[in-house]
Amino acid sequence: MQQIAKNIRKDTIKTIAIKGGNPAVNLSSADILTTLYFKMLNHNPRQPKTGDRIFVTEKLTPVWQTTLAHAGYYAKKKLIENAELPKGTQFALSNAIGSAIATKIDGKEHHTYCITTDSELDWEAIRIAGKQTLKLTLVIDRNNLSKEGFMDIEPLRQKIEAFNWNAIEVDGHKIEHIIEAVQEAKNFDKPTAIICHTIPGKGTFMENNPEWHNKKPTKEEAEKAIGELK
Amino acid sequence: MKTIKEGFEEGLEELAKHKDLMVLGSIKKFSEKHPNKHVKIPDIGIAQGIAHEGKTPFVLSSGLGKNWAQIKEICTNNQNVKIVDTEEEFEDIAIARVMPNMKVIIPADYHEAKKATIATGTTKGPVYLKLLKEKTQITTEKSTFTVGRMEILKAGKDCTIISNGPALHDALNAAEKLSKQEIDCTVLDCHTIQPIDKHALITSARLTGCIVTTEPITKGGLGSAAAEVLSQNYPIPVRMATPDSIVTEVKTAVMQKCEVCGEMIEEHGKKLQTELRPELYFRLHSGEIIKSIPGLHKALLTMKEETFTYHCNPNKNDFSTWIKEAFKEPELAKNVEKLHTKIGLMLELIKWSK
Repeated sequence: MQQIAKNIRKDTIKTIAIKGGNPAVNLSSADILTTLYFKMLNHNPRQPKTGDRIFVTEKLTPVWQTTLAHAGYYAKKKLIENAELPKGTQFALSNAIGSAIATKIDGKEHHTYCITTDSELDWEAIRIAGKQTLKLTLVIDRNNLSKEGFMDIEPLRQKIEAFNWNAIEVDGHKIEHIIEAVQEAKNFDKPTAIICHTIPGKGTFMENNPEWHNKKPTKEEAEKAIGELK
Repeated sequence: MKTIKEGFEEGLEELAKHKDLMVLGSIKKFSEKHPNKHVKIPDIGIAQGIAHEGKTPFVLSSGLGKNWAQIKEICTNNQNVKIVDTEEEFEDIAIARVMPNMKVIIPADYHEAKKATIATGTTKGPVYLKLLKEKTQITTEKSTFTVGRMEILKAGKDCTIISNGPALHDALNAAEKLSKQEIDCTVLDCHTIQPIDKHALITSARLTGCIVTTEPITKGGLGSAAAEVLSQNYPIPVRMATPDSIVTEVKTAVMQKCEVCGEMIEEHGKKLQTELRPELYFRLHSGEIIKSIPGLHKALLTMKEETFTYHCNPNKNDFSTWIKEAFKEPELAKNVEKLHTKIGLMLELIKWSK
């Protein structure tokens, strides 16, 4: 698993170096996406419309696309081409709520996941979801990073719990911890938020450096980062 | 008289029988009858998620402004979300019209609202359904309704009035008044602004030579849509009979405005008749004046044989030259050029008008 996450990081940097994106944030959430797609999710790349639903926010598009390629949804070379790939949306959480509501009405069994970064939290949607009983898990990549530098939204856990959610806090780079938390979240009726504490730019020279929040790396920089990940 | 809102609710009932429908927002009757097909929160993001599961969500939204970013996303991804707007704000029509894949429908009365709702539910992709306050019953149960088509309410040859929604009432009134002054108007019901019925628009422009639009919005609505099509395909005078100021929220103002619209249509309709470049009118040998191609057809019916042969004989064909110069219809002119009989000419004109 660690190795898969590393490979995903490398390919993510390559993709960002070509298409642009937020390198630090994407690197920090690689472990979360890897755990979900390679261990926890009930999904089938050949029938993408069945199984557990997953909604990802806009910022995490590159790492999501890379993970999907590694999971076998499409060829890896498509990542660096101008191909039509699934994209994250700004409204991932409200979309996930809608999907979970429809699932509940139809009496289907699958679970709905939403992966977001801490800077993209949709509080309006959190408020709405708190009033419903839904099979919904929100995974928050708590990397502390935003455009202006490090941001302060603590106490995040108490805030989310105040909206009638369950909240679990874990280390977002320890795969066993994420697995445990995701397992635990499935047992609740209420929507559950898993706050994954992560390090922006994990494993490279971009670590904990707000400069790399939204900066396209040059070819040399990308190679340097990939070298560091070996 | 049944209202537009009732038409919408009945349309939803009808849809609920066959379709995997979901309605988001407060709608009392429907929510009591189908609690399983109803969600309280009118959130467009949630509707997106519901559409993702293969259902058809109708969101009873209050205007587009607040949810603009979501609507942009829905339209670019062509998601199956239907937005129903009952606010008396008209700028939204203009901003909805410019989005890719979006269909914009404005029904005029109860019957049309019911048909429009059913059509909205059965077409794929995003639809913006604007429900305004009805004035009178304009269509009947048997009238046709197809998304993306214009319906002909009245046929005439001198001027075309295009309108939609409750403003159609004023358009019809204005047409009646104009007909007393011997200006014969076509009235078209353009319930779908986007995609607009190009074919009907251009055909009507060719037949009548001028167009007046009316609607309760100043810029960017039906008038602009018509002008966009005509300026590129068949440039003729187009007038927008809508007062200049943006409509305020006060309903009485809207009502007054529509009355003003009626007067403006009349004014424009009359003015346009004189604006049609009189130097291009065709003056017959007998003194009669012909203003348009359908007018020529009408004149031919009663034309004396000697007048006809004066203009059209093996040596010259005045009609052909006139059609070519005044109406820029080289194809028709070419076809007419060879004809030297009244009947042949009339048949050719009928063929063209079709």
